[in-house]
Amino acid sequence: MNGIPQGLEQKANEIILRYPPEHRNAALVPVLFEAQKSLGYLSPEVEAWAASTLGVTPVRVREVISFYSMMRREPAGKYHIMFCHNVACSMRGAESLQRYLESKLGIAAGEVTQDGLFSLAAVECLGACGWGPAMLVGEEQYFQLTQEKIDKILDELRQGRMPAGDSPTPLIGNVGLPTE
Amino acid sequence: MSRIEIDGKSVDVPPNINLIEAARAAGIEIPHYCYHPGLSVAGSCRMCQLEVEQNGRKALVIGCATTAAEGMKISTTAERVLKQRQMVLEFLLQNHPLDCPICDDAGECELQNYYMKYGLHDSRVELAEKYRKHKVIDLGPTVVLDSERCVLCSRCVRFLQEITGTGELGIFGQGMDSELLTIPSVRLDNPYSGCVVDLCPVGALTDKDFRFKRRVWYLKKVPSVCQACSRGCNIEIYYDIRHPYKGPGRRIQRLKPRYNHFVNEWWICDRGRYSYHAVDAPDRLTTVQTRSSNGDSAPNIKRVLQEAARAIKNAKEKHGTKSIAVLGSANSSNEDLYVLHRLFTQHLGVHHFDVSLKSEPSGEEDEILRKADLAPNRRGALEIGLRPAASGKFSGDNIIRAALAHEIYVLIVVRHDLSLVLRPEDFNRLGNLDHLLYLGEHESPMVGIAHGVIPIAAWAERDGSYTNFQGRVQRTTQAFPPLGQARPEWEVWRLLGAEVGLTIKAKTAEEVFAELTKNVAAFRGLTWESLIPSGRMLAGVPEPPYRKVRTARPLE
Ligand code: SF4
Ligand code: SF4
Ligand code: FES
Repeated sequence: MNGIPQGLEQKANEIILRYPPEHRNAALVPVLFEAQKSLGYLSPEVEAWAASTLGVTPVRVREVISFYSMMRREPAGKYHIMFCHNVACSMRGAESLQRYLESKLGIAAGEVTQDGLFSLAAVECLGACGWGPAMLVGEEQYFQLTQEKIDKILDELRQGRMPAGDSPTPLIGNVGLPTE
Repeated sequence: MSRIEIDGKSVDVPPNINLIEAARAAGIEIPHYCYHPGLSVAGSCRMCQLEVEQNGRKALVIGCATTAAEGMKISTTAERVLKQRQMVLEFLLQNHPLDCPICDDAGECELQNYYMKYGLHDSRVELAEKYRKHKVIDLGPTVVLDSERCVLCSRCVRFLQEITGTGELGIFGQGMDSELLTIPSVRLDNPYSGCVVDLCPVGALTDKDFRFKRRVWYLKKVPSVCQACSRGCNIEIYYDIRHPYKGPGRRIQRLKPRYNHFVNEWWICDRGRYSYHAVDAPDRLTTVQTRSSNGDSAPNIKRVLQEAARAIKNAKEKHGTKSIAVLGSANSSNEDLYVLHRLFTQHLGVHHFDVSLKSEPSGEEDEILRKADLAPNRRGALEIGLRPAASGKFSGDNIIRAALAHEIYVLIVVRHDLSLVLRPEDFNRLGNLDHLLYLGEHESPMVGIAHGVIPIAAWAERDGSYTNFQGRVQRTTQAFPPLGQARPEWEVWRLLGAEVGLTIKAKTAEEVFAELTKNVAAFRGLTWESLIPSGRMLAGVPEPPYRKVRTARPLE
């Protein structure tokens, strides 16, 4: 189908099989996420395709997309950075760090860099309050951010490498000394 | 049955009803926005909160989603209930644009009503700080949306999912940003779209047909029955005859559905909703006309009827009763058809009569309400005996054929426009009959060829009863007098009867109906009063099983 990424139909069908046939529409959220993963955003074509594939109205699809802030109707950068601006991270310096990140990228939250490499979103809690400041790049999570750590991550990404994300388990939170 | 106590009053309530309905049964109104008895329970507005005491514990619950259970003690007036209502209203009104002065819903708006009853708080939000949304969104051919006024009750959304299964509206975004909208590729354009305006508890959805036409407090209403198909949905006529200088003399301002458990529940279709325009259409016939007058003096009905009576007598003497035919109308009331039947078939012995033509226009039919048969009273006509009985009697189509073949000399036609079914040259030949008497509501080519023309009252201008396709006899009420010289059809037959030696004593629709119930077996036992409010089944016709009015394919 026009504008539908290769392999998406196949994946959607796999997802749909996980739900009882009479509740096919329950697969809407995972299917949309799958579509967003492969296309980078949810285009009008994808919306229409999702509606007909799952047997729901186009209005229903839009309700779901507009409800979940992680679903996008605009193209994002190749690397979509979600930077937490909630209270716990802010108390650990997230506000100035966000300004630093913005000036490094040359964009404000909600924008995409000219080369299409990065987009930035200021988001609500990432569930990492104990290890703030925190951000997500795609599905990788980065904790206890500093200017240096941000520099390193962006450098790697610019060279096309996805730096390994932090895992919450070995960290015991921000109590005491940073683990560095 | 379970016994519960509401504000100290003991009431027995049927099983499986919620506290809003239980309170209603006890005569107590619980304020609510999202709950509607015809839709699923959303429980989102929190306006219906009540204090319930059960097993020694007291809690605030939402009445719409709480089932009445034995021993519940409910307070609708506890201090914290009143406080909750006020808080809910303050939230709902926080960003409300307060454009009541230009809002169609003012006067019947649940924000206004509940604010005056339960709110009465001062706003803590400056006008300039209010959150703005979209205004004047053209949703489709019938409805306009002002999303700033919306309280997000989701009634309209649920209606379009559950009753029509079309799903044109949705609530987009979340939290403060939630907004009732649709997407540009979708139009709210289904056969029941007008119902969302009735459902909307505020002025967010307004009807293009009624927008800015009249303040609702100028409107009067009477109960009636839709005439636009054989379902016979129950409606209310909202009219205003006191302000003819406002607007182009339109007396009916709108039709609204009236609840009938057995027929239409809370809904009507758009075809019915907007059908009233015909009543005030500029092409209404308002004067009696006769070909013999040549425009000199204004003819009166007596003269027209005398001419018709003379023609009928002549034809009968010279050519027998087979030379006279009556093509009545299935849009006529039971009373009209009864008097017509008495006069023509019983008294005059007219041989050929029918109300139907094969080629009558039919409408779209669906499993929700709409019926293909657009005539509101075909069943009534059949029950009264206006069916072309077996041997040698002509059906409607054959009557016309016979009239063209010089077998019929006098033809009486009600409402039908035969120019729609005949080639022009044939149609004009009908003018050569000995006599063609035409009774109609609207200007039509029939007027040009008839010998006598008598204008008849529209359904909203007279009392009447109609039998729907199921066999339910229902009543309409006169909202205002007929235009000009128009009068109810049965009155015309009564006057014509007087010219041909038939005295009909009944002087009102009610009296005609009483006579009808005595003389027509199918109507036996019915009384005029018993038809209000929801009609009665014909004698011996069982009530059809209850069916929830909705599409067979609701959306999940
Ligand atoms: S438009 Fe009216 S019916 Fe629809 S959600 Fe808003 S307030 Fe409720
Ligand atoms: S379904 Fe028939 S009777 Fe009911 S509102 Fe529509 S046209 Fe009128
Ligand atoms: S009516 Fe009960 S929550 Fe809205």
